[in-house]
Amino acid sequence: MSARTNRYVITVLAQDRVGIIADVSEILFQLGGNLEALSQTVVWGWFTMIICAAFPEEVTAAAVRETLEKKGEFAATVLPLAKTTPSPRFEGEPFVVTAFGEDKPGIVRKLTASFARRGINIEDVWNEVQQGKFIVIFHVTIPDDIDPKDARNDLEEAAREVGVTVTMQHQDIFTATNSLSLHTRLPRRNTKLAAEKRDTVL
Amino acid sequence: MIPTEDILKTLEMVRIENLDVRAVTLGINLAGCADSDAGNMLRNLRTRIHAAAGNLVRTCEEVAGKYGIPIVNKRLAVSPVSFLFEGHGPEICLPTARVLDETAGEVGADLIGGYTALVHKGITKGERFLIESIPEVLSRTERVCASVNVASTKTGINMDAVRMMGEQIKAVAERTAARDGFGAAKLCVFANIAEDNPFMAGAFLGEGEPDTVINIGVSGPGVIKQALRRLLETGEDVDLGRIAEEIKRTSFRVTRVGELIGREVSRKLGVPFGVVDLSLAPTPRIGDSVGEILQTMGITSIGAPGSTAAVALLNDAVKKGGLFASSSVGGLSGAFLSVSEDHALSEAVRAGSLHLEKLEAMTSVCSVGLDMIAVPGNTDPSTLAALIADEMAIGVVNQKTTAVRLIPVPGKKPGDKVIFGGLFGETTVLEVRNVGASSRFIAFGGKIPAPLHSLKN
Repeated sequence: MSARTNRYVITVLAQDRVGIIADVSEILFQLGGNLEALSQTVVWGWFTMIICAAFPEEVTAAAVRETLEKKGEFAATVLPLAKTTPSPRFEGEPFVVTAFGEDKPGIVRKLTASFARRGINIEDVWNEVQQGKFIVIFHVTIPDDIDPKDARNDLEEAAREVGVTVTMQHQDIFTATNSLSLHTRLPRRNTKLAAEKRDTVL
Repeated sequence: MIPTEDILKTLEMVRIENLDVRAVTLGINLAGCADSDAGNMLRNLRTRIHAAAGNLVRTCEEVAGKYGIPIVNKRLAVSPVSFLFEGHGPEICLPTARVLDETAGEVGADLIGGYTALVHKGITKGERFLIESIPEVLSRTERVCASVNVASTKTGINMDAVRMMGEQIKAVAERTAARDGFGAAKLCVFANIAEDNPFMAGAFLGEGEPDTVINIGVSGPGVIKQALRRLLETGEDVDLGRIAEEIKRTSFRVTRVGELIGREVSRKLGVPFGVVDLSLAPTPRIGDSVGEILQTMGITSIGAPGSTAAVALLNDAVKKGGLFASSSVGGLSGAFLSVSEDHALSEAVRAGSLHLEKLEAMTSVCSVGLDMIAVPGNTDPSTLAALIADEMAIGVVNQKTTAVRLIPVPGKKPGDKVIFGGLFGETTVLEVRNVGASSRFIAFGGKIPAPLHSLKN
């Protein structure tokens, strides 16, 4: 088999059941693939996964997609990945934004537009509607040149317009009340140290 | 990423269960302000407090906003003001207190503690002036809080000071009769006073403390009550050991909030971080009460047999959970039985289930003493002094801090309602039994010697 020179980013969507990751990884293994990164989540019984993997030169993106869809009955997307795709870095402070209230269309749209205007990146989001009550939790990074107070004012105005209550709190308060470590990450001056520690662990 | 359940749990603690930071208290040493010229000294005081505390409120609001946790009170605690009075006459007292009051107001502080005298072994001239000025000072200032330490485990009880304090409490209440004796709510009499206590009216900056220091008082009765309620609703087989464990875990969470916020305020102000005080401090709001915790633990009428044991369990578990959560714990650190400030305790007094004697018994296993208790206005000073002496004896013998904050409400009798307002709450006047029957004992004066520290069997 030739060297693994083709790298792809693959998404897989399927109704959740036991054994999806086992099936997908078996298919990719049979194609000569090697997994480099993987993350999964489930929303309302629907499983989705994103994978970065490297394949032999002769395995095309179309072949990977077709095999996944045919053998596994998944909805799949496969895109080529440049060898050194730069991962964008969002420097800043981690905040958690929570909004809740009566459900109606346009709440996420309004709040996320407020983030985008200020250059605030959403790192993770969770949203659920139960018995007409809407709740959304965003993990965001507020850039260092943005005053959190301004971001909060923007959000509160957006929340008023769609009739929900919003809170914006530094992530450390949740770490402090729920885990043994006091801070979610090391102070910035120690990032080099943190990187060295990570390398040691790896 | 923080799990969603953890985020929702923390939000519930803040939004529904009244989790907050009860007090950020900035300690300021005033020794450098001493001057034999009164005018110079008052100017020094103003300059010193402005320089140390000018940014306190703004910084607290910034940090509270960042974490979404309210900081209810921003306070100042100065070194004992009586030290500044040495070498002066009694006329120095009121102007000094007024400068403290005004300057605290100018920097936005809610209260300023440290109008304090430490007289557990003897009384200096300055300390005598301070004690004698308390009625005038507390009736003519808004924010000044006074405290007098009359006893310690190492030195025993200064009964001359105890007798003086019985008289002063009565005088303060009478001078503030129009406000139901409210002035007495700003006066605490202590045994083994804590040098780093962030809570009023007893906060002051002790001798062993730095030039300036940040001490934090957390709250959390509502959070603990809800945690116990949820535990009991699980339908599991719950015993008191499991209840203690749940209190410990919850106290850990509450204390972590204080630690995080205190350290950030301290860093931003460039002031050393002192301690987190683990005390469960109630507010008059329903759902923020130490009494409600006792009710959740099965003491349906507070004051019933079992109340003291329940308080002992609660107090111990709070400390154990809190100690693990903070690298620096101090102050009073216990459950407050502040009657008018705790609606469930206040209701127990109204309903007649909680009496003075039972409160006294409960204070032997928790902080901080007979606190915010309204008694009839005609209670004589020697009986007030005798109540102080009993509470001091509990502190001295048990090597713990105890305090007395009684309000003899002028013109009111047992069963009458009293409203102090705000965080001071409202209550019903408690009966004091055997009034006048200890006047001879108090009249002896002198000292009750320090207790033995050996032969403990």
